Amino acid sequence: MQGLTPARGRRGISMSKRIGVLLLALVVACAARVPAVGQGASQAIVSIWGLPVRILGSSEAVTSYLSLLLNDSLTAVDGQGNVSGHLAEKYPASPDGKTYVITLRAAKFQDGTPVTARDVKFSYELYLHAKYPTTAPALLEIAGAQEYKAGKAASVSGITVLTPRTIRFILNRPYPYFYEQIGTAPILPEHALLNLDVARLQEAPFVRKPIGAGPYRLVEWREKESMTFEASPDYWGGVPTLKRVVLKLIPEDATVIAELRAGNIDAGRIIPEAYDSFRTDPRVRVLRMPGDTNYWFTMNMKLPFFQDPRVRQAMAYAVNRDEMLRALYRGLGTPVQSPIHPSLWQYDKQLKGYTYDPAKAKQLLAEAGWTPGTDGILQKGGQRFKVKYGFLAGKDYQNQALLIQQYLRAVGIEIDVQGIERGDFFSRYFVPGSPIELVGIAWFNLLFPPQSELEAGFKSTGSVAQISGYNSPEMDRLLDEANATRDRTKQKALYDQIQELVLRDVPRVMTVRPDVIWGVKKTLTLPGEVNSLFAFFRSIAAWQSR
Amino acid sequence: MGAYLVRRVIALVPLLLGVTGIVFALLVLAPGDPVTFLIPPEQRGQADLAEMRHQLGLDRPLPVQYASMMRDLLTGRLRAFSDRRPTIQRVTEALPATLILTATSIVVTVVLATPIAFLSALRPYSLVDHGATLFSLLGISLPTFWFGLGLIFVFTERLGVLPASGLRPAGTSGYDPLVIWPYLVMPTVVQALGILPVLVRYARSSLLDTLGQDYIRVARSKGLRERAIMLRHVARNSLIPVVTVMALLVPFLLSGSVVIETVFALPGVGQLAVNSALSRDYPTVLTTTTIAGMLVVLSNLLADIGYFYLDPRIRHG
Amino acid sequence: MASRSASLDVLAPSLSAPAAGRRRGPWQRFIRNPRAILGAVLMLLFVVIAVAAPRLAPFPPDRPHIPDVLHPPGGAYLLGADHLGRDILSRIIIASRVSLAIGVLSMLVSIVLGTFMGALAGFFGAHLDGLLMRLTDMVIAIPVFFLTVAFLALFGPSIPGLIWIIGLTAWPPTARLVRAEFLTLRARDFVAAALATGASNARIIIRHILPNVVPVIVISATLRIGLAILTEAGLSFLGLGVQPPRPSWGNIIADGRAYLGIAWWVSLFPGLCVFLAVMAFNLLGDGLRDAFDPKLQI
Repeated sequence: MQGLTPARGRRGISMSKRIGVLLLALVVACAARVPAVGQGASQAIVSIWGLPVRILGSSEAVTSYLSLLLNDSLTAVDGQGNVSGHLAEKYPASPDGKTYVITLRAAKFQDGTPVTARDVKFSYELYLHAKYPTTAPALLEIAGAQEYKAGKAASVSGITVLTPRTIRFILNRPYPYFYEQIGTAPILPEHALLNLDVARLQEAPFVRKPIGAGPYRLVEWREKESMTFEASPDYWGGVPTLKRVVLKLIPEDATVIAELRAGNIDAGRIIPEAYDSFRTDPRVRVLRMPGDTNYWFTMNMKLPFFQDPRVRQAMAYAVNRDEMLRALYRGLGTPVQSPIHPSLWQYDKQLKGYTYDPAKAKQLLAEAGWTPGTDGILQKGGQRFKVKYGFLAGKDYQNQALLIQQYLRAVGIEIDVQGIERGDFFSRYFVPGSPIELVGIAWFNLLFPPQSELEAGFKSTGSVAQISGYNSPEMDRLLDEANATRDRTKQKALYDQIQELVLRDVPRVMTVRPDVIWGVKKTLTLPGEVNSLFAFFRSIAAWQSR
Repeated sequence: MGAYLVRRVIALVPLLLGVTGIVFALLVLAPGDPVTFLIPPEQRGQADLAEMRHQLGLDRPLPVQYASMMRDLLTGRLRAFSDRRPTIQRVTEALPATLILTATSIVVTVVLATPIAFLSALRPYSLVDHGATLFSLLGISLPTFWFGLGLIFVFTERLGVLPASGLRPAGTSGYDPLVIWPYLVMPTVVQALGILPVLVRYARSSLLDTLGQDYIRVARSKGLRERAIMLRHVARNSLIPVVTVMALLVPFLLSGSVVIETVFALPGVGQLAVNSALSRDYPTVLTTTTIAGMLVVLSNLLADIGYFYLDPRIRHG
Repeated sequence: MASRSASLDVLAPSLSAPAAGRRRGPWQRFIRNPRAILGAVLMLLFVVIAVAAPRLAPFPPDRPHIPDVLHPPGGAYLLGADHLGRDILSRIIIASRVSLAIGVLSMLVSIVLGTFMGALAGFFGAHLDGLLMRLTDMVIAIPVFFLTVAFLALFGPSIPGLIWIIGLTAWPPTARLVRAEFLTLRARDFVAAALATGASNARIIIRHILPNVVPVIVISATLRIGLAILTEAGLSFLGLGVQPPRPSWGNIIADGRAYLGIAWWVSLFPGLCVFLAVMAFNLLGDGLRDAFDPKLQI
């Protein structure tokens, strides 16, 4: 037995030696640099945080960004909200503002077929169909749209095909935002959607292999992995300089950072904490822009706590927005004083909002009859100022909630913070009639003109206003007037007043708008000013990759 | 053998019914409205929620929903809530990534476990044995995502030698082993280290068992060379527990895939399961868990078959 | 042998001694195993920390302190501060309570349920065994994480929910072990003797067989705790674990996972903590198993 043991040992060693050599070979082979994909052949790999689930009949933000690549519309808005004609070459409005006669330019869909007036009518009738679930309210301004949507008419009477290249829209009233809200609907090819059952829209093959009139064709869609776009040679605006774009789904922030540094992707959104280190990176530069999301918290104005506007204003003074930005976003962002996106012309640059002034906050609270108790928490008539603050579960909301808790405690208001899971939040918590107290949430500003969002938030019939109980006849009037006049100067004046009223009435305390930061390879050149996500995606066609 | 197989396959039916029953019970009892997940909050006022609910069949009574979901699941016509594509298609698209990772992990684990188990079994309770055990315990004591992110930090961010996301270069198709192997390295290491200790322990104890058996002593006394003994008798008999353990490991690997696929952006079944649960896509949840269940049962069956062939005692017993 | 009462038969016949140290009792083997001792010591250390947590933490774990956001280790913050300026060390200490509690309580759920199922299946055999094993197969068939994620995503994450679902998905292995033991022991002479003297089934199960199965259960239990802690960490990564601001080891790691290159301390230290705690339980379980029977397939 003894004599055999060394043999056993030898056997064991030689086996593991073989394995060892194999592993070593593997490591050495790994050390060969992975070829950095994305360079050459004018293509870019952009990492994205989510791929769309539905590209038609959807209201996801990602879908609307991708639509900028795939589709085109009669008119389009740029980053500032200014209008230009895309598929529409001539788009005059009648003097009474109710009739628009559109002349289409010679544009083609990505399958080579020309864009005709029939395609335009078809597209709008799809979006207005009774079974189309995400009809934009603005479209209902078209004459006959309501009847069509209700299933009482076979087509929309207000849309008439005049010639193969001209089409006429008639509106119910001189709606001021035809170009921004109605003209921006993507035009789809009728011949690719024949015999469509709108109730089962998502089952149509078109939805997975769309054809649009935009600068890029979708050539490949791998679910939860990537979407590949190729420049369309038929695009009326000229073939895009960037020939191929791959949108790659990378859900983890750390992975995006790592891939950027390794050169495996050409652009990716990065967390603010990584900003400084990428500023000094030899191969990657940073691109900063105001984000789409503005954070705020609202309150239940039917509660005695919040009925007095001084209390609400005090809360607005109590929040240290600069510190929030510094702490949570490395200072990369702006304090929010207006619900309108800062890149839009409606945005009031002169607005003087709430500075950080806890002394003023305390004073206002005292004026409202609240006096500090022995533990520092305010009380009035035997009741302590202690409320529940529910926030949508998520890292940003949670972090902000903790800071807001501190700020409010400093002026004597005690809040209990509680994260509420998404499903619960939207079905039971954040609905009209729900007994909320304070709610922390955020909204995306999609870059339509702000009218619809303002109405949802502040008009007494709006979805959020109904939850908070905000009801101001003055606000309603201002919003209605803004929705009725086509005079831009008058509109601006009205929006200024609206923004000012939002600050005075404080139906919500607005806090911060964090910047969106992209890491972009230095070999990738972006055109001009990119100051919003919308502008970022719109600019892709003009990117150049060395 | 044939009859045995048939019996096993028949036993699958109540098993699958039970699995789908459990999952469906969860879906039925869960609060919250799936439709709210398809519309972002800003658009809620405008979207026609009732119409969406109707299109998903959510306005029908529960027993009807269950029956029709089951029928559609079995005929492969069940459609997801999110994109209305057949769930079976979504799962089959996601399967390759998960299967490739799982298969590679198993192979790597066996390759790693064998020498470790041999070393430990040949010198039980020695320093080598202790070291090997500690090393293999490493894998099951680390949170997988932490470990994975750590690897990404070192090998992608700092060294730039391995890609951190996806299973293949962006925008390409097919899974050519020569092209995709760098993408597999890190996820496989994480998965493999997670199941390594189980395999090592089984192999080790099985080796210890075999090495002490009578017929080995007989073979030695007959003068057979060490190598022959090892290969023919020891290795073959030790394979049996390894094969049985494989079956146990598949559910563990599938479980682990959930986190790994998120960290490494792999378009597999794990992340499909998680995302569909988080977004209340009930049909997809049902389909992914059912198919995962079938994979587990299938691997059990394969293990039994392998066991059958490897152990002559069973075959002729 | 039949005259000896089963309660003296603690070292049940099914548990054989390993080749080395055949004559030493399990306790001696345990003590001589350095890995097992290490595991036991570490485990005790964690228990002490968890119990004394509020007194040990130098800072309150949930007050943001903005000036010290992402402060590196040093100064007042031994292990650094997180993205809200909270002391990592304090958070880790306080988090030990909830992480260990989840580990232990979910282990109890799975052990109790598993033992119950396994005992019934192994003792009564025949149809009951068949039925219970079918049920076990069903639960095993679904990958644990799939079911756990589905449950927590659909019903919302909560600590009791975590404990229940982790426990309810972990009982099958214990059930199988206990069943195997029961099957073996039931055939023993002392059980036949007890039956002959008219003892009830329950009495036999609880007084005679169960004590012999305890070592197997204990080993299984220690390993379960480690798995439960890791599961909670994984769930926190997906946002379904213990909800912030309440700290758990899992969610502290999850919080810092995007900053690996920038503020590595936020994820590293709680990660090490999880590693040590799980390692401790694994070493302990390993050591216990080696002490009783290294060939046990747990």
